[in-house]
Parts: sequence; C-alpha cells; structure tokens
Amino acid sequence: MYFMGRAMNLHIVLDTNNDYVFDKENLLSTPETINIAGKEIIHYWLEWARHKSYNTLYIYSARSIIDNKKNEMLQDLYGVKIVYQKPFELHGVKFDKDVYQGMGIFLDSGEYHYFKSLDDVFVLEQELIHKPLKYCALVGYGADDAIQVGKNVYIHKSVKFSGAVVIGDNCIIEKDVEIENSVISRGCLIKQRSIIKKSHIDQNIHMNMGLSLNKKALFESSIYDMMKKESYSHEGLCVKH
Amino acid sequence: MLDIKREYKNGYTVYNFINTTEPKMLEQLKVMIKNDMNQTYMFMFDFKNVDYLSVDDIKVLQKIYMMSVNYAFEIGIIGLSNQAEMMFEIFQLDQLYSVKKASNVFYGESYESSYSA
Repeated sequence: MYFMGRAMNLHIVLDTNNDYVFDKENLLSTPETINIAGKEIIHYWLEWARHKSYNTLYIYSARSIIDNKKNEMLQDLYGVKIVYQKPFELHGVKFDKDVYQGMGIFLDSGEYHYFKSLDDVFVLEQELIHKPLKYCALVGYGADDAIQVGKNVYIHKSVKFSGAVVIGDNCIIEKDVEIENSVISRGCLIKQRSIIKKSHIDQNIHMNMGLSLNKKALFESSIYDMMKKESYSHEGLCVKH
Repeated sequence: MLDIKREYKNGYTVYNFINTTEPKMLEQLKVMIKNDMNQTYMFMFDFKNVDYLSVDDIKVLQKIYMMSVNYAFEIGIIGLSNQAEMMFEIFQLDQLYSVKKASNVFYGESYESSYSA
C-alpha cells in the first residue's frame, strides 16, 4: 500500500471560456452546479475523488459562490475536502498530475469529458441515462434498470414512462403525463397532460399545465432548444413557487 | 396601442401583427374577425414583425382557435420567429393552426388598411 497516507489532490480549473459559455445561456447557476442525469457536476467530481482516493478537491473559479453549509454536507457525504480558490491562487501552486482544465466530468475510462457548450452536456446526459457511470451511485431505484426514481416522489398511476427516465428526489408527477428518455431533476412539479421527450428539466421547476417539450432543456428563466442549439428567455412556462 | 395592419390578398384576410402584448388584444381581434367574416372565411396571421410571443399571447391564440371552430373559419400562420415557433410547439398550437414556413405565400395585387385600437 505505497500510497497509504499520502495526500492526493484533485484540481479542477474552471476557465473564463467555460463561464462565458454557460453565462450566455442565462442559467443563473455556477457551472459546477449544473445538473447532468439528476446530479450536479460537483457530485461527479466528488464521487470520482472518492473512487480514486483523493483527499481534497480544489476548485479554481472566479465566480463560485461558496455555500459553506452545502460544502460541509458534501464533505461529510463523500469524505473528500472541498477547497474553493480564485484562479490567481494557481500561481505558485505545485501541482501533481491530477489537474483538469475546464468544466467536465470523468468517464469510467478515466477520460475527463470536457464540455464546450451546453449542447455537449445534454448529448452526454442522453448517453448517461441509458448507461450510467459505474463509479457513481444511481440517483434512485426502479423495477426497470432504465428508470431511476429518487426519494419522496409522487407519481400518478396514469403517468407513462418510456425509454430511460431519471426522476430526482422530491418530485411530483401529475396525471396523464408522458415522459420519454428524459431527466426530471429534484424538486420538480410536472403538471397534468405534459409531454416530455428527450428533454431535461432543471431542479425546482414547477411546470405549467399541458406543455409539450421535445429536445428542450427547461431552466427557471430560460429554455434551450437542443435542435436549434439556441436559448430563449421565457415567462409563464413555469409556475412561481 | 395594439396595431394590426390588415390586408386582403387572394381571398385571404391577412392580419400583420405589429405588437402583441396588449391585454385587450383578444376582444379587439374578435371584433376585427367578426367584421371581416363578411368578406372571407380565410384568415392569415402574419407575425414577421413580432420577435417574442409571451404565454399570454399564446392564450389569446388558443381562444381565437376556439372561435374559428365555432364560426368555421380558417386561420393560417406565417412569419414566426424561432422563439415564436418554439412557443407554438410547446403549447401544441402547431397542431391546431396551419403554420406556413415562407412568408411570401401570396401573389397578386393587394391593398392595405390600418386598424388601430
């Protein structure tokens, strides 16, 4: 056990280009809190760190909002220390080889899959819901391998699931809803008669009734069209809560 | 002020929407349509001058569709921006209305009158 006791650190350096790409889409969140297949990106880094026995995760970002309470919870959950640093603090730091530039997640092969655009995120998400990463815990449990349902979820008996579906914790899916190959992040309310296909619903979204989303990503104040690769601001697609 | 330019082209009554955010739009549209039904039962709504359709605008169009069913008149849609096209898709209006891609679907002479409310 040669590495026993030796401090191993994982460094993720978020660059300004990443910030620009995700700012432009008006997501109102820091890059590391963007959801993929029901989990924030920071969870993927922490699960990889735990899997590879890293002691500390360093995140270098100019605009990260450090939520101490959340960080403490994540540190307790994964057993990995999280340290946020500003990019100028990179100077003078002696890195080992475990430094990764830009926002991405680790694949089972060890490759760091870097996201150049929001579209990259949703392309990978579609792959991950069909074939989850082995080093990550699943978001939830289901009788069918392709359907993962989290904790404290209400699903009306008339709801139809097809393909691969991920439903995060604390969601309500009302009657006559159809969901196909999509991700509903935690805390969402999907109102009756909604149709969701190959789409992504961000966390804590309360959707209006009877919407039909096909290849869309719905955020609090914007919607991304995966076919046209364009974002639009919206009012009225979500119910304020 | 809601401003809709009205044209008559090849048997269609064309409403060219300049601004769609007026709360009284629904009632005004209903009055216009009832007046124009004396001439034709074929309408075309042109949105080429509208960049953004709100959910309220969509609700107005849903109600106008119900009116078109009740009075048995036909409405086509042209000139949708990308955002407007997406709103039509999300609210499934594209399955109610006949949405045409090209805005130059008319030929021949036309005359214009402006309607302000």
